[in-house]
Amino acid sequence: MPWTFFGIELASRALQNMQLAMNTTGHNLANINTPGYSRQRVNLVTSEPLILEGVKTLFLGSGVRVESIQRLRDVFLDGRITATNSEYQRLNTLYQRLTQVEDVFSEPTDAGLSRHIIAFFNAFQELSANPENVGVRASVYQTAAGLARSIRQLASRLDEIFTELHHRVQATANEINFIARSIADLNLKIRHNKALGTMPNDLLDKRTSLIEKLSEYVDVRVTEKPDGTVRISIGEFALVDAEIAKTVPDGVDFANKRYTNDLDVHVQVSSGSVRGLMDAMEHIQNYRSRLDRLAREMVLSVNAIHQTGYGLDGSSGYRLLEGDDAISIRISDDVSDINRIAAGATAAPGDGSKALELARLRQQALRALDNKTLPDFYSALVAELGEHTRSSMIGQENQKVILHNLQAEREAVSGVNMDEELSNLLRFQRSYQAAAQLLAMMDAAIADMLAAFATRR
Amino acid sequence: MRVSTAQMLNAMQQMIERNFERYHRAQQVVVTGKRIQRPSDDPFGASLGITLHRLLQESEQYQRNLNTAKNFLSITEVALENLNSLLTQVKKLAVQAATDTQNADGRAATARQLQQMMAEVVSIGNNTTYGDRFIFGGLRTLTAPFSASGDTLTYHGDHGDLRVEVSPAVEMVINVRGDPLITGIYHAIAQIKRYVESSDIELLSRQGLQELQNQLDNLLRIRAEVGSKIQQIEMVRHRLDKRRVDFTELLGGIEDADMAEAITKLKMAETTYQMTLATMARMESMSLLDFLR
Repeated sequence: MPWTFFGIELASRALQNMQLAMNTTGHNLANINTPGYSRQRVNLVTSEPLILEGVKTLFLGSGVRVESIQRLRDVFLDGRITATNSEYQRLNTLYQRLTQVEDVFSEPTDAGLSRHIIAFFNAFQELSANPENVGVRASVYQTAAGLARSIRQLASRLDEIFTELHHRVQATANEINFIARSIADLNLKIRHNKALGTMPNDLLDKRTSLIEKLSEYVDVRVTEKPDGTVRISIGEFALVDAEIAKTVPDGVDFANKRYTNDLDVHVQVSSGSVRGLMDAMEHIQNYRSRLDRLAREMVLSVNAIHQTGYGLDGSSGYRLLEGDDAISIRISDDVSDINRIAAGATAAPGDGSKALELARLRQQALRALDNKTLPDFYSALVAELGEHTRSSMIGQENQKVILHNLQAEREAVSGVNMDEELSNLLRFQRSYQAAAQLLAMMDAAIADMLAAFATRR
Repeated sequence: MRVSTAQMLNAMQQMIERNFERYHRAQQVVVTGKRIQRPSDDPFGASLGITLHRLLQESEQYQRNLNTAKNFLSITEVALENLNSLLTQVKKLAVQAATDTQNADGRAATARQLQQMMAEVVSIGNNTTYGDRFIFGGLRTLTAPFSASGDTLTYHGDHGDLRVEVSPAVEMVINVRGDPLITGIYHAIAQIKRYVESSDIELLSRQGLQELQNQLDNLLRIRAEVGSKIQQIEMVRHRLDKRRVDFTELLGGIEDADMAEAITKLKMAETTYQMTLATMARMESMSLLDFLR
């Protein structure tokens, strides 16, 4: 026979455990909006039965006990999510930045460089038909100055974006190092807890969130060790190993897609927003150098024609443009006296043949521009920018869909559903009430028994 | 599949963001009437658009060049007509003088008239301008092309051609050089005047009238040339107009939004967005909490 207070003990254990279950439900509900939180479940099992020896051996149920509080998590999904997240961040960052570059180019609008190029050559057409006209000369001067200014502005705004990207990559190195240290700290705590035999659910969630944050910046490879700690590497670079975090240098080598201290530490980055920024830097540098080529060829080929022509004042040999790249191109001081703008192949004022030759330069394929004409070289650049932007846009949209699906899969396992928790709460509440009732009845039975003894005496 | 509360709200939020972006894009297309807002909307179309814009603006420039050429030639044409009627008068006077019925006074009067006409020739040569450009001086357009001293007319211009590009790679010479045309006319009249003054009827009716006829023939030939160039200009203008219409249509097809389609898309995007918002509002009010107690 079980001892007298067996029933009371059983009921009170049920009370305690239901309370625990309700607390855990409360924890879940409280963290319903906490990013990276995995719902927890109180795993209830029957407690050890009482063995009653007699004619027949009986197993008497002894109630309930808590086996564990489990964190519901699919660790395989975590790995896929970090990888997808990195790739999404790379493409999205690239897309955002290229969109910025598109804004700078302002094509196809009247503010774009293409309109300035057309205006420039048209002005020379007009000059060829009216070489003596001072008004036409003034407008040639203005459009040439406008063209040079427009190229300079484009180049310097590309440079601004480039510099900003460079700073952003550097700043992200600090961010990565900060997260790495936090993960190393968590590794230490998690190992202690595990050694003591407890499952530090919330610390694990926190670490997973940090790893995910890290995966936004760079591609990470995560290996979990039996002692509960993780090893995290970026490419070949071991960022975190147990409680040790190494420092990512903040030197930027975007051409080779890596962080470097310029000596022996190189961190190759193949995904994440950092890679996206580096890719954008490479694209911008490419656009910028092509703009330089355009400007240089513009200056060289325009001057080659202009310097052999004659101005209205009979002067010759003057340059129209100066500079040797997109940032230094400007209208030459040589022609600040607009009568020196060369329209003729001879000093005769009615001769517009040089101006016509200059206007025809627009149709001339130039070897230095990959055998393209000046206008075509520029529109090819715009088309390529559009292509890059478009493919990064499509890429990031695809990755976003994959990422969202994976996140939904994870949420299906780990996410908190309010209605579910509320119904659990009801269930545990009812069980608690029942256990309380049981306790009251047990208590009444014992009281009755004690009363019986009292009357007998 | 199990759906968490946060997941549902997140998904809703993403939907709202995405549908709002689509709505915004559709709106942009309708407001601007442009299908291509940025190169990435259609990289190939954008670059083709740039080229077509260039060709369009070029053909506008050609139209302006054509106007210059036409005005220049028309002014030339008027001057040549004046020269022609002048020469016809000279011929009449010369023929009269050659008939030998005139007395000395009459010849002197004829010679004075001829002198007058020589001055008129110089005046036509020096006063025919396009804006402030002298049209008979070749490329020396800023200096008066002629100066007369006695029976000699000196040409200060050169023998250059004024060329204007009227369509891609097609140039047109728009000037008529004052030398030998006007100098020739002047000298022919001067010769006749001299014969009249010296009463050299024989030479007048042979060499004088012959030379005059040569000049008239030459003038006729040049007038025909100018006239045909003016006609040519009209033809080129016609062709350019057609080109412009073609380019504009092409460009429209590439850059412009199909309004009916754009508005339909906007309407659809709007409806979708409204539905998303409505769903969000309903979902938020749905919870087990409302049914408890």
